[in-house]
Order: sequence, then C-alpha cells, then structure tokens
Amino acid sequence: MSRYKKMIKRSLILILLLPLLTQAGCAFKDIDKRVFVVGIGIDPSEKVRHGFKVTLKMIKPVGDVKSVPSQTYAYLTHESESVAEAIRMLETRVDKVLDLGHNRIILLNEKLLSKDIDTFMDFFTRRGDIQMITYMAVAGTTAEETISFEPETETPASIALYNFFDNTGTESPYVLTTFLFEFRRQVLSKGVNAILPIIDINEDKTAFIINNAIVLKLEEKPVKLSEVETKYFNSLLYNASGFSYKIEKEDLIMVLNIDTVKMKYKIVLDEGPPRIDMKVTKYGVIGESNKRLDISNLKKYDKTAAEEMKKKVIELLTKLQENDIDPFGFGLRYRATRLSREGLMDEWDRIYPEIEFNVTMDVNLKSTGAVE
Amino acid sequence: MTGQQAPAIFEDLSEQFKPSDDIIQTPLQIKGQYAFLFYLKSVVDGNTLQQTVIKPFFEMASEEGFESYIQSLPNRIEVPSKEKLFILISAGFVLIAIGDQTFLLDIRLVKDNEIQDTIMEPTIHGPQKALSEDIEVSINIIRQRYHNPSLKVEDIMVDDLSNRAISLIYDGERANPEMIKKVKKQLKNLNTPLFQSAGDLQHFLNNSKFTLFPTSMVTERPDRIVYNLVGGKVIILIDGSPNVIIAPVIFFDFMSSMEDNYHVSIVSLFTIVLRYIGLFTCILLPSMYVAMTSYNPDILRVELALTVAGGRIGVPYPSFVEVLFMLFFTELLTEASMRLPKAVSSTATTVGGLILGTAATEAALVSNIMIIIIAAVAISTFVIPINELSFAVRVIRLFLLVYTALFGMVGLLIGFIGIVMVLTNKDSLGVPYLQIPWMGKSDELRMDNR
Amino acid sequence: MNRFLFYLILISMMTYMVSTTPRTLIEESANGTVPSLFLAIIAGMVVTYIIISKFSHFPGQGLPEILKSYTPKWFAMPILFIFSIVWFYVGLSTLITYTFIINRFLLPEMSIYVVVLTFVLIITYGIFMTTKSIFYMSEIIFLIVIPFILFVQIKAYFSLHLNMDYIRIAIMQVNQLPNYKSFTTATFIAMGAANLVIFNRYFKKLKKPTRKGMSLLTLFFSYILLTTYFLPMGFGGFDSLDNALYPWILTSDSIRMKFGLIERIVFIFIGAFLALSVVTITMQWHISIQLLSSVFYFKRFKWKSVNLTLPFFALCFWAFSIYRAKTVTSDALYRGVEFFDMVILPITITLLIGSLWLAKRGAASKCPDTKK
Repeated sequence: MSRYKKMIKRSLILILLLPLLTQAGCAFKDIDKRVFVVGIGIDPSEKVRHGFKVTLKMIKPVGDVKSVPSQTYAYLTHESESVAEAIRMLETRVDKVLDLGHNRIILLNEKLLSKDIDTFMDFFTRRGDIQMITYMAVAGTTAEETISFEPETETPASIALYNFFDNTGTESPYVLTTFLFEFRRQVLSKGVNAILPIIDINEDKTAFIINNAIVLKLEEKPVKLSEVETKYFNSLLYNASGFSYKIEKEDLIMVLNIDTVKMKYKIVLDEGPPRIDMKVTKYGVIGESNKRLDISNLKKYDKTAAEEMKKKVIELLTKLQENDIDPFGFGLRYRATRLSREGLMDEWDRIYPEIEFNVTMDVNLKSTGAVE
Repeated sequence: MTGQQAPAIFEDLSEQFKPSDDIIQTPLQIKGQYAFLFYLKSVVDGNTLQQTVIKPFFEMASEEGFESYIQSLPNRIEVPSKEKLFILISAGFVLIAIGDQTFLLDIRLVKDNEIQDTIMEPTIHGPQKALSEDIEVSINIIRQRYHNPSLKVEDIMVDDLSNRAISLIYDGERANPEMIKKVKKQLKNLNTPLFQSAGDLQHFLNNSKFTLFPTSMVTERPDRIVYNLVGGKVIILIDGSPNVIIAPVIFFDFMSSMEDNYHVSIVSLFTIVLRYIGLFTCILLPSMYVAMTSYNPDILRVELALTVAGGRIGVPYPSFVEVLFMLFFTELLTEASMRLPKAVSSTATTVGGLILGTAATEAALVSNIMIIIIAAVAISTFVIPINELSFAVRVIRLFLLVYTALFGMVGLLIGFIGIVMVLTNKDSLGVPYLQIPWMGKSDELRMDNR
Repeated sequence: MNRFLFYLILISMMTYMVSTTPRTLIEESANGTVPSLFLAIIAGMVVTYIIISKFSHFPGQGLPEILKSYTPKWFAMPILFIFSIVWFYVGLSTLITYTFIINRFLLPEMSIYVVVLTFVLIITYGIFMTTKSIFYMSEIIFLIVIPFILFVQIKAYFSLHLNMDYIRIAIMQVNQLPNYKSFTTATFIAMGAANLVIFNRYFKKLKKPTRKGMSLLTLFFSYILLTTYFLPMGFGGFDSLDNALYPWILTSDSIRMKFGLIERIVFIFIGAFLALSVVTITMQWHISIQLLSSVFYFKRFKWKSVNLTLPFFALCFWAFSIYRAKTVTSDALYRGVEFFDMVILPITITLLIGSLWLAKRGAASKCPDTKK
C-alpha cells in the first residue's frame, strides 16, 4: 500500500522535475565567467547633454597571487544619458558577466554634487546587488582619473582604496568614511547635510591623498572642509582614533595623541538666545615635546590643550554655520527632541543661522608617554 | 541387548537428522542400568560429556542416583516441545534418557567464543574489548558489567532458516514495556529466509524499503550497550555476530561517542562541538562551494572571491561537475582503503589523495581551492563517530549538491531544511528520530503520551 | 505554557519582520504608526490570550473536530472552508514576498517559476508531515536560526553608524492619532496563536495561558514589533525610508562585519529569515490542507487504494502559487496584504473566536440536535 503511495509520489515528482531541468540553472554563472567591478566613477558627460560618463574599474583574477608583482585592472568608460544605460552598454563590451556585487566604492565628480543627486544615485539604491556598505567619495580631479589610478603600495588581491576606508588597514582621523546608506539617508533627510571624503592624487602620481572632505548642499555649490576641519569633524562625530594635536605655548611645543573622544551636545532654546551646548571629552597621552615635562603638571597641560582645541572646534562650527550647512545633524537633533508638528523644520531653518555655540572642552592626559 | 529400548523420541530425532554422519545415539549400560544419549558430535564438547555424564554413570551405584545427579547439573534445562528440541540438539545440546525420564544438557562446543577487540568504534580511554561471536559469552560480558536483577534476558524464536539464538536484553525497570512489545512484534513479523548478522537484522527491522538514515544502531562496545540499557533501550543479540542492535535510537545517539563520558566536561563539550561542526561541514561545504562560486560570489569577501576566481582559471568544467568529480574520487578512495588489506591501504590513500590531488590541480582539471574543500570534507566525514551515519551523510550531501546546483544559495538553504524535515518525520519504533531533547532522553520519550 | 506554543507564535512573528510588515508600518510613519504599535501590542496579546484559553477547553482537538461535534453542519462547513482559504492565502503571500526578495537580492537572473519551485518542492513534503513532526522541525530550525538573527540585531544596535536621532524623530511622531492600517498590520504578526486551529491536535493538555507565559510573550512581541519598526529608521533615516520596498534588507545590508567570514551581513540575514519563512509557510499550508480535507474528502477519488484527495489539493496549491507568482506585481502584492490585514484579518479572528464560543456553548448544553 505504502509502495503505491511512494510510486505516485515519485512519478509526480519526476513529472514536475522534468520542466525544471530545462528551466533551472539559468542563473548558473561560474565565478570565472564573471568579472568583478571594484570601483565605479561618475563624471558629467562631455558629449551628451545632462549625461554621465561612467567608468568601471574591473579586477582581473590571477592564477597564482604570490607570483605576480601587482594587481592588474581593466577599465571601461561609456557616456550616456543615465547611469543604468551606460552600464547596460558596457556589458556589451566585456565577454563576462559584470558583477557589481563586489563593488565597494563609488566616486563622484565634484561638479555633479551641485546637481540633482537623485538622477544618478537612484540607480545604486534601486539595484539589489549593490552593497549598501559601498564607500562614497568625491574625486579631487575627475572620477575617471582617480578611479583608474593605481598607487605603488597596492598589492595583488587587495584594493588600495578599500583599505583606506574599511578601518582594517590605515586608520586616520583625516580619512572620513561615508557609506552609501549614510549618504542616502543624509541626502534625503531634512536637518542634515551629506559629507563625503575627497580623494586626491599626489603630484608624483604615486599615492592617494585623502584628507579633505566636502559637504553637500541641496542643489547648490558644495563646501569644502580643510584638513584640520575634517580631522575635527571626524573625531567629534565618529570618534576617529589616531587624533594628534600640536600645542605651542610660549616656548613649549607638545604633540598630544588623543585616543578617545566623546562628544555630546544639547540644543537649548528656552534660556536666552538659542544655543548649542557641546561637551567634548578627550583622553590621550603626550606624544612629543621639546622640553622635559613634569608629570605633576599634567593638569596644567590638560587645560592648555583644552583651550587650544576648543578654539578650533568653535571655528569649525562657525564655518559650518556661516555656510548654512549642517553635517553634524543638529537639525535632526532638533527634530528628534520635539514632538512632531507642521513647520518644525522651517523653524529650525530660522534658528540655525543665529544659534550660538557653547563648547566645553575637557582634556584628560593620562601620562607623558614613556618618558617625562 | 534385551534390556531397555530407547524412548520413542530418539527415533524421531534420528529420522530428522538423517543422513548426517555426526549424529550419535549411544546407550550406556552397566549392570542393568541404562541410559541413552543423543547428540551431534560436531557441536558437543566430548571432554565435558565424558567428565560430567559418562564417567559418573559408571561410577554411580544406581539408576536413581544417576538420575538425581543429572537432575542437579547446572547446565540442565527442561525438555521443550519437539520442534524446539530439534533446534537445540542441532545447537549442541545432549538429550539423555534414563528410564522414562528425559533430560537435556547444554554441553555445547563453541569454538568462536574469544572476546574481540573493538575495531569499529575505538576509543582511547574506555574498554578495549568488544563482544564475542558467541551469544552466551556476549551475554556474560553484558551481565558482568551490569549487575542488577532488573536486567532481563529473553530468548526469542524467529522464523528464519538458521534458527539462531536471538536474545533481547533490557532493564525491566527502565525500559518502556510498550517498546519491548513493539520490538518483539517487529522480530516476529520478520519475513526473511535468512539473516546472518546484526547488521542484516537491522535492515529488516527498518520497515520501509528505501531508507537512508539508520533507525537502529549496531554496536560492538559493551560500554555503549550498558549506557543504553540504563537509558531504557532494548538490546538485540544474535548468535554468531559480534555486534548487537540497539533500538530505538535517535539521531543524536549516532553523534555521540562513548569517549564523551570518559573526558573532563569541557574537553568533551569541545569534542562534541567539533563533531557537529564536522557534520555540518561535510554536508554543506561542497554545496556551499557550488552556490558561492556559481550563483552568489558576492557573499565571499572580495579577496577570497578573487582567489577562487584565480584558482578556477583554465578549469574547463562548471563548479558542480568539478565538485562531483572530486567527491567521486574521494568516495572511491574511501571505499578502496576500506576494502584493501591494511598494509596496502595507506599506499592507496597516499597515491590517491596526494598525487591525484596535486596532479589534478596541475593539470587545471580542478581548482586548488577545490582540493582544500574536498580534503576538509573527507576529514570531517570521519569525525562522525558511528559509521552508519557517516555513510548516510555521504549520500545525503549528494542530494543537497544537486539541489544546490539547480537552485543556488536558496536551494542550499531550503534543501538543508528539507533534510531536517526528513529526519524529523522519521521515527524509530515510535520514538521521534530528531528533536531537541530538552528534558533528558527518557522524559522526552514519554512526551508523546501527554 | 508549552514551548511549542511559543515557537508557533514567535516564528510567525519573526517571519514578517522582513517581509511586508515593516514596509506598511514605515509608509505610515508620519501618520500615527507609533501609537498604533502600542495599541497593537495590547490588542495582539489580548487576542492571543483569548484564542489560547478558548482552545484550552478542547484539548487535543483541532477546529474541524470541535466544530463538527458541537455545531450544526451548515455552520461548520462554510467556516472551515473559509478558514482554509484564508490560511492558504496567508501562506501564499508569504511565499510570494520571499520569492520577490530572493529574486531581487539573491538570484536576480533566475526565473520566478524556478524560485517558487525551490520552495514548493520542499514545502510539499513538509505539509504532509505529521503535526508533531512539523513542531520538531520548527523547533530545530528556530534554534539554528535565532542566534544569527540576534547576532545581526545586536550588531545593528551597537553599530557606530546607527543614528539614534532618526529613531527619536520616529518616536516623536507619537502625538498623532493611531491609524487603522498600521494597527492591523502590526496586530497581524501576533496572530500565530490562531494556528492552533489545527495544531491544537497536538496539545493534549493545553492550559490557559499563565501570567508568566503571557508576560514573556508580551515582552517578545514588543521587542520584535519595536525593532521591526525602529531599527530600520536608525539606518535608513526617517524621511528617506518610505520608498524602500524592503527596509529590513536595506538595514541589514548597512551592517558590516569587519572581520567576519562573510563581510556582508545581509546574506546571513536573508538566509535566516528564509529558513523561518519556509517553516511558516509549511505550517500555514499544513493547516490549510487539513482544513480543506475536513470539508472535502473524496472517498472514491483513489488510485490503487491510495486516496488522492490530499495530493490533489497540494497540486492545486502548486498550480495556483506558480500562477500567482508569475502574474502578481509587487504593488498588487502589497495592496493585497494590506487588504487582508485591514478587512479579512478582523473578520477571521472574530469568526474564529465566535465559533469557538459557540462550540463551547454547544459542548456545555450538549443539545442533541447540535451534536452530530
């Protein structure tokens, strides 16, 4: 009895499996039949009006990683009205499947930032296979040039630009990391401005320089931050480690190495003129000094350092305020601490240009390093 | 000889056993005392017979004295019905008739009663001796390790041609009576002409025709038997087989080695975790390779993806053919080294494993990552402590591989769930085969009756 | 409370975490989702309590047995039939949602037909298993999967890139009036207890829910519901998430495992929820097919002494699901699910509780004409 039941089951399955054999496996693409895109650069097109020039950086796998001196890449460029179309056209130029799933960096030309960003960014969030943890950056020159640059320190099977941003290689407060999902939420949210790192190439054409950042303004010219401003921004908001600071006071020159930064702020409206109370606490050690230091004087050095750094922070905040940009997301905080109502953001837009900054800087030096 | 005639049953017996030449039917006679012996000389221990029966007969003064002497012998059993008598005689029992009384003595000659070493499930600690091929010796071993009046040994008659002794051993206080009934019923309902060993019997106990996962366990380790007796399970012994069957068993029994009980708790936890990782590796890894290289390379880190892609340069076949190819050769290798004599098998493994593997990569038939994967899979297959399960796993991973090759990463995942479904849907004598035992095994068995 | 009852409820709660629920909730984020969530927690738990305690009057009996013995036939049959369709529909929409997710994020090139087949082949085996085996299977899958899901969520909650301000903005929408759509959508995921209509056959000694059990359940439910709604906000932003079709996929793609075996957590996440969805669909269709066979059982529909009723129903399930998956658009799917949540769900729950109440009365009076 159960045998017949089984026979029915089996024949049913067989019948249903037959069409399956013809259908299945159509997504079967071996890894050596794919080519991995490891960088996308977008420039404004020179030929097509309102178009884009898309550059893809593709990595060529090598049979024996240890025997090749450096990684080899292939580049493809196409100009078209939309990014999707350009990539569609580029697909016709490679013999393999373009696999965007491994792409970890999208480079934008600076000129594109003042345009409607949605026109080209839409493609990346709409496609399911692009990682949301892709790094976003702005090219110092053109995206095409920057993406196709290969620095000397690059080793096979590892991509230099990734190492800059992914915090497993270099870690520096100058290097700001912005992921695609962050970029997306910042561009689309009211009360915060998106900020992107700028990737430059040094004059000798041997290495990348990544120490600036740029803040986007909706459909307006973006604002560049200097190295120092980038450093401060990054350490305040993302607690970036490796922060060092030089103090010159009278004849004493000291370099402090800060390893922990804590920042809290509060928007105060009901006491006098609107202001932002920002409290910054830094912990670190003295890294270099031109004099013999006294360990009992640490408190004094704390104070000196705090005053110096406070000035710098206020400078940064004021610059942002003057340009009417808000990469810290003060506006978000404003919204987040008030019950929702109509016109909340309009109020903020009125308040922000006049808001005062009240920064309390607290530096805690733990030691003078290994020597006094 | 005018005295006494042999009883009628002796005639029947010799009728039955003719024309075997090894039947002996002798009268003993001295001074009007008579006794008749009937036995098969090839299975009876002549020395013991001489010492315990023949010699006393001639030394005794009277028939009555001899009768009560025989009556008091420890190896005397009641004379059973005729059919059973035939079987017992052929097993080495001696029938004695004194006057109109008949007695049956167990004077069997068993040549294969030495205790064997553990071969199938060796452990570092723990007992090194297994059971014996003789059922009496095996029962002796078990009894000697479990001194408890609640240990029941029941003989079962099964309708097959060889009429071997089959014994059921269980702890009367711990085993579920329902279960024992079920086992007995199963054994009664066997309709097979012949079975030779515990493994054989096990297949017939599995009801359905197509089974992959074993639902009863064959073991040779006395410590495992005792452990399972305490767990309330039923042990089936067969004469002539050094292995016994444990029923019912669940999936987790196959994943436990007796060694777990002999180690410090953390060490054994470590080995158990290791074993489960091994199980998952050998089921999933080949399919994972296919899914990741051919459907979703973006799961891998980019560096790894590049290495895999680089390794596959020049490999002519798609990934699943590559995997099937290599799996096929490792299976051949495993089979070969199992069948070969010990001296040769290590050579076979070296030639097969090392040379074939290297050569295949050199010739760009398979990628070098593939070799690593296949080696890992082969090793982790051997981590599974009970052989039967590791065979089953070897088969099931092929099914999973096919499903993955057809449906990619999703196929791998859902296929794995399918395996879990098949396992949970199985039962061993009514006990669910796979489920998470929260409350200890014996409570879990009773949970169905809630 | 029995642990299997917990699994029954928790699994169906978690399955909807990534599918349609967050999308609907976030769509209405500015129109009073937050108060609806709190109402839904109360309503969900009350309904769960009622259903469990009603079923505890009928130990070891499924709804077909209960209705057939204590209510008139003209009442029992239509109810059972309607329920079987409802459960089939719920299973189908889960199936199609996950098919779409897979098609979008895992296997973009594969045809929908094949993806549906992948599911259906295994699920068909699953729905013919015994109720007990389904429980064991669901327990194993649940226990395998839950560490991964918790890991992803813990990682998300501690991520540096989770911006609490967005979550606080979402909370600040609490001053809106609750809306019906969010309310029913959120309540729906707590309706796992309704699966008792068939699964009650397993519970021979089902007791009324204890206080401890209910408070644990409420805790889980609140955590799941709030995480479902708020965590994507922290990654996707408040204003920018309402056009995301699968907010949770976007969220899990935003989390990065720096040193993990796999860098992109999204695959672990999809995998874990895929496994849960298979279990849920198996349960729902098992219920559906059991209810259906309690209404229609063709005694003469046989082939060599095997009754083909159930295989026939399964075949219908196959055919209809493949047809639906091919034709439905994702918008129609969402509208369908919304319609279900808003209209069919309340009706079903009322019918279920009502018929149980009737059956209880019937059982109490033991009226000869209501008893078959």
